[in-house]
Amino acid sequence: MKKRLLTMLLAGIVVLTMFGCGSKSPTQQSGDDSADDSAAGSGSGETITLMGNAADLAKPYMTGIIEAYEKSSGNKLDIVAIEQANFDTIATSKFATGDIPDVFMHFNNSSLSNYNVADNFMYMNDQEWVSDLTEGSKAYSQDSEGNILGLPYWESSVSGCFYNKTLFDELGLKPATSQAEFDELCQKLTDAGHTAICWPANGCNWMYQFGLDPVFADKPELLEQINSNKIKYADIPEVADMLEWLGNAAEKGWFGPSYLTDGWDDMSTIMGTGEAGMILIWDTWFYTDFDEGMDYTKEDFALMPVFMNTADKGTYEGGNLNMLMANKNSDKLETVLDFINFCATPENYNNAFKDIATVSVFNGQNTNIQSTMVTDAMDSVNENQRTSTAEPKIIGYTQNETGSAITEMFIGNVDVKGAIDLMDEARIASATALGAEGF
Amino acid sequence: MNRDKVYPKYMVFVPLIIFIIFFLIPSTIGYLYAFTDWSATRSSFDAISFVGLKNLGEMIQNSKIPTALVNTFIYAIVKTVIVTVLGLVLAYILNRKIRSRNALRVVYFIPAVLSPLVVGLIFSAVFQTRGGTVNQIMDLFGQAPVQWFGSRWTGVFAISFAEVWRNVGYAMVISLAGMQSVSSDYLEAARIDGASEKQVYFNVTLPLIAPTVSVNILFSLIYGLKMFDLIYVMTNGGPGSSTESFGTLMMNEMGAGRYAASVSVNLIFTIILIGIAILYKKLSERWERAI
Repeated sequence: MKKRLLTMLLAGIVVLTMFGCGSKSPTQQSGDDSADDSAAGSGSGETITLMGNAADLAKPYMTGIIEAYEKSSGNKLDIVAIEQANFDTIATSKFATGDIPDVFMHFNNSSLSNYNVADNFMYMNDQEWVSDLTEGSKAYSQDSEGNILGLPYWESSVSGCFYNKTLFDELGLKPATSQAEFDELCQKLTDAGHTAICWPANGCNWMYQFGLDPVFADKPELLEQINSNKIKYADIPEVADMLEWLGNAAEKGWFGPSYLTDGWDDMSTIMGTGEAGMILIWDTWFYTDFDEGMDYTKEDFALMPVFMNTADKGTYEGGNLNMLMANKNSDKLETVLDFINFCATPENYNNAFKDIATVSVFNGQNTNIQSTMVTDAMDSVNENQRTSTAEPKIIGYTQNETGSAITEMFIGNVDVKGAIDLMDEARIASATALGAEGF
Repeated sequence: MNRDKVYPKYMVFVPLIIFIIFFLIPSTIGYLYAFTDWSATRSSFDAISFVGLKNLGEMIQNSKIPTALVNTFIYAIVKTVIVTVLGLVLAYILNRKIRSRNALRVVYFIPAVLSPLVVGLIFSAVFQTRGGTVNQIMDLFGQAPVQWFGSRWTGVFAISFAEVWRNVGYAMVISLAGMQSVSSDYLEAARIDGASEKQVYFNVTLPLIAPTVSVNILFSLIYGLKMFDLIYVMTNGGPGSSTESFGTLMMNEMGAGRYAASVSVNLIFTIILIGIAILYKKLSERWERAI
């Protein structure tokens, strides 16, 4: 009898565990929450879906504007938040099977072409808010024919190498102004027992485009030739220089002992505890994702250029913006445009971006702040900033596949040449699938 | 016995028609896309062109295929061997009159009812470099932390470990059902004849449950070869493409907008699976006859 009771008890625990596990789908979690919050509204409105990267959708200005819209309109947003590391893989698969959201949030980069923009999204040239966009954000949200693809609605930050100036002072180090100085700096930090650069190779593949930007931004002819399949990465010495440097840096321990498995969620701890002295990131990250309350706070950090052996004076990358795009085939297009127009109203975006460190996206944006990290380094930024070139302009470039090829080199499966071949293989395959001319 | 006399031939037609309508036709149409230029930007039927064997040729030369092929076999074979053997051992132990055996049967079976997503997240936490359970235990013994997901073989090990943990309870239940169906008359007769426990197990029990073990092996092999979800959650095929299987490779090709390439991988994989199925059928028949 006792045994039966015990068995039944265990079976009960199993059943309860099952219910516990199935409480909420991770991709729907935010949506459920937002639905609850919107109870304050009329509750009689429509529900539209918003699909985006989970980390991006969790930014305070996004959650803020969604909450404000739901309260104001009585409509609801069903948030489909896809994990960052596999965002494009999962989202593209959803599009392939016809699971297309009413509103889609994405960067205007080469990956966007995988979503069949012309067939799926509405050109927004005639929307009132277009005239309110700054020239930079307007240019970013256009396609090659000048059509506005969506509402740029994100932080327009400066990407570079952020260093822990307090730690640097303690160790008597100065920020680098050349590649040689940077290499020396990395070695000194390593010798002092720190990880020189936080290098979360597990899924954080944007870092490599910082190194590739100068190669193609400074020599537009290379960009034209690679996009017409006349040359490959293998024909560009600077690409090999970059990979040589990355391989050497990893071998010398500059990226730390666990960089291959470190990811987005580890960055805050690595920088906040002083484990690493530098990180390649954007200033807004310190305001939206960096956990305060550790040994170092955002006030301890300053900005210098990225050095990856492709630009002797280093490089910064200009702001990248997420866009809110409207599914032109949605049967709720009116509500979709209502939401996008709500986001683009000066009062609403100024509330949402209050005290967020970003360059203004709209002409009427005045509650955002400029981070001191950027203002303190403004001369260097003005001198060495390049627009994001590798990802938006190289046809077939994907962050994931570039990162994957370089990781193959890090773990010793291929050498520099082998990694470049893998990068070329993936790029050419994607460009061919896209039907790019010359491929 | 002549089976033709027991089962009239027309009895085959109904399942055959169902098979053709619901499996053969859809999958064949699906595989036809491997011979087209279907992609993210050519998704409508009008825009797709026939390209012959181009995709298959390119995928066969793709550098990720050999890694995916070897990994897929490792996942399948490691899982099949360990799960089958452990399942038999546990079933043998829990078929004996030991205290709390019913409770233990439930405990061992719990992982089998968990979603692969949950198991993947659990073992991601167990094997993670920073603060992972395994590394913390190693730290207690003064060992340096290991980047379990930082190299091919440690990653393959961690994934295989999680898969074995998830499936061993299922194999145990099937083996246990087989053992319980063995008539005690045979076992008692063998014992009366002076057979030791070991001899009873290997010469009486095991041959009698051979068809059950065969089912276990078949299921483990099939699901091992099709492994996708755990790998996707734990490593997504990384670092690089070191732990990639055919399943994740298909997904990643699809995610990169190369739909036809994804179907090509699937077609290559299907051909390999058909070869394995034929080979398995022949080997299992021979094995069952031998014991």
